[in-house]
Amino acid sequence: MDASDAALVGAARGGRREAYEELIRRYAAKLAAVCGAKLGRRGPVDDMVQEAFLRGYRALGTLTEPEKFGSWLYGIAVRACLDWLKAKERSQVSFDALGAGTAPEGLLASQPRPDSPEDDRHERILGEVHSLPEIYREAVMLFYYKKQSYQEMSAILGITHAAVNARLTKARAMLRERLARVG
Amino acid sequence: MNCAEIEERLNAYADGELSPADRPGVDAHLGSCEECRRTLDAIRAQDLELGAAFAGPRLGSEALAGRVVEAFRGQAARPRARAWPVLAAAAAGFLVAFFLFRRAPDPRADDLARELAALRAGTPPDPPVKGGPPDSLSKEFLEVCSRLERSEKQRQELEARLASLPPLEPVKKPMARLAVATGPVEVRSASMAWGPIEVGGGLEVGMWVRTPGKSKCSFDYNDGTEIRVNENTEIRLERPRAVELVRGEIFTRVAPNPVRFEVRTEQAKVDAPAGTLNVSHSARDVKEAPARLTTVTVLEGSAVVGGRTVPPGFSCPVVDGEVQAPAPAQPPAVLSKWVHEILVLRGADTTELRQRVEDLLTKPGPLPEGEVRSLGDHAAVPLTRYVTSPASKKERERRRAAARILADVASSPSVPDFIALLRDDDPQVRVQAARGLQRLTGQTLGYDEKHWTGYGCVEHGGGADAWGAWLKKNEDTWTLPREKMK
Repeated sequence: MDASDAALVGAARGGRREAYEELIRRYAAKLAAVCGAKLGRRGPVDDMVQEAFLRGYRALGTLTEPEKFGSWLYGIAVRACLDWLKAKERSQVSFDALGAGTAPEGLLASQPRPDSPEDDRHERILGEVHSLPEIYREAVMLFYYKKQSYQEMSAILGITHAAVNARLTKARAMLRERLARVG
Repeated sequence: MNCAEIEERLNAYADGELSPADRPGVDAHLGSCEECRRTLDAIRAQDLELGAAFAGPRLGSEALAGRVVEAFRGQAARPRARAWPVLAAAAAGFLVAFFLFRRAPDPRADDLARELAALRAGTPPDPPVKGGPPDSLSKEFLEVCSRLERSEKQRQELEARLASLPPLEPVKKPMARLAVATGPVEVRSASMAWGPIEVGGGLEVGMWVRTPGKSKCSFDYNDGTEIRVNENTEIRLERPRAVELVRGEIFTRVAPNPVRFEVRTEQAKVDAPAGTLNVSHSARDVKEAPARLTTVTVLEGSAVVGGRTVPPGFSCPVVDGEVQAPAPAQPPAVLSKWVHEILVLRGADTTELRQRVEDLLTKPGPLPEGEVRSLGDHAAVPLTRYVTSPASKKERERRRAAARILADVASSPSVPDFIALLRDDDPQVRVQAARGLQRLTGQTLGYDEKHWTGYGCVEHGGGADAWGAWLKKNEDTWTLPREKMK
């Protein structure tokens, strides 16, 4: 039987780094979903996931309820994303003002070109998901990145089972409506 | 169940998350309702499509785990490095020197750092230490100097370009944001026609907001004030602490502020320093309302309406401009039950929600089942408290109704409470407790309704003992205290 999160946290605190590596494997996809929802398609999701795990490791001694590792780490990931977004907001200047030859790299990067009509449809779907309001986007991404149960989503987001159902229901209805308009 | 109730359950049904207790009702309805079957088909088709669309990101995120583990192995032992670059040349120079030398700790590094600092300051360096650095170290020293010069040049260029930029406009924080909405919400301004606003969208002074159809929504102001807007309502945000209610109904939790909060209709002005108000207004041209009617109910704090102070727990109507005498108001849970949908959507297990259920439970007469059920699992704690209270045993039918609702709405943390109720004196309460356990755990442990209604079951223990043993065995999953679910 797999060790519980609490057991792994205890082992990691005791110096067993491989225990924390197991926690990384368990939560990387979930954090990718959460950070993707917060940052959008062009955000540094991988970097923020890594940053969240590192911050979590450094702060592991402060976690008072090891069984709540998932939702605690979710909070850390959210804060890391908000820190990045705030720093990005402060450092932005208009591109024209930077002068010739200084177009920022990456910002004009195009999405991978779809190879088929199916890929094109998937691109549109992901685009519409990313344009959903944040709480709905987050619910859809958490559900589909790792096919989590409502119970797991409830624990990581700190909301009730009913709220998970309400958000997914609303998110899917909005997607159906928007995709029907797009065609 | 009607179609609206089925539709609320269809996503959970398609995801395999519907409670066993709800399933027969949904199955039966789907058997006879083509429209709901079509909706279910659409949800299932969409689920497949979303699963396929997310296949790439899902694979990517699985590979990400491996990369993060590698990075963790590399970084967990090292000192923390800053994620973003530092622009100041003095610090950049120091970092260049530090980065070059830290890999090979050398007591002469301190001497070199001092010489670099002296170069930057334009003062002559100290005489070399007797014995001096060997030639190889001098080469490194020169390399550091030339890198420092290049970074200094880059710094000056960047500073010149930054200085030539026009000043940035400060990022303006909106006055309020749309927190949740149950349907479409529209806004307009003096320069913009009606258009949709998404959750998270900002609102500024002077904007109008309306909730078409059956939509309801909630706004959070920067000062902590919250305004909940009922369906078919239109408001205007006149000033940071002033709202015009054009028509419809709002519920507002006013944060304390030196500036009093004002709600104005075409015929009345309400102001309050802080507290909780419910204000509704209908104009004369509405068919059902022969007169203009504004009703102000104060739930917490106090408010002044047309010069008249309205204390908490009182409603004050204004009819065709005439302020009437305040009268005792209904409990908040009854008066403003329309906000329940908003509260559940916000997802927080709040004191307000529990208080609303308490209010509904204390309302005389039959238990208002619809209103209590609309609060879902948020009703579980007050309902449990009620069912287990000695006083409730005098109200047998209300108590049974409460147990029935609890069996339908409670979530996992209620499992120990249900097991305790298996020893209740009332067989109907025992039956509901068993039904709740079956819904949550999927199990009956072999004990059917006949067992729970039998007089022997309490005396001999039987099923209750079995469930007690089951709970002990499954403690990790089923004994998470409700407080820790927050």
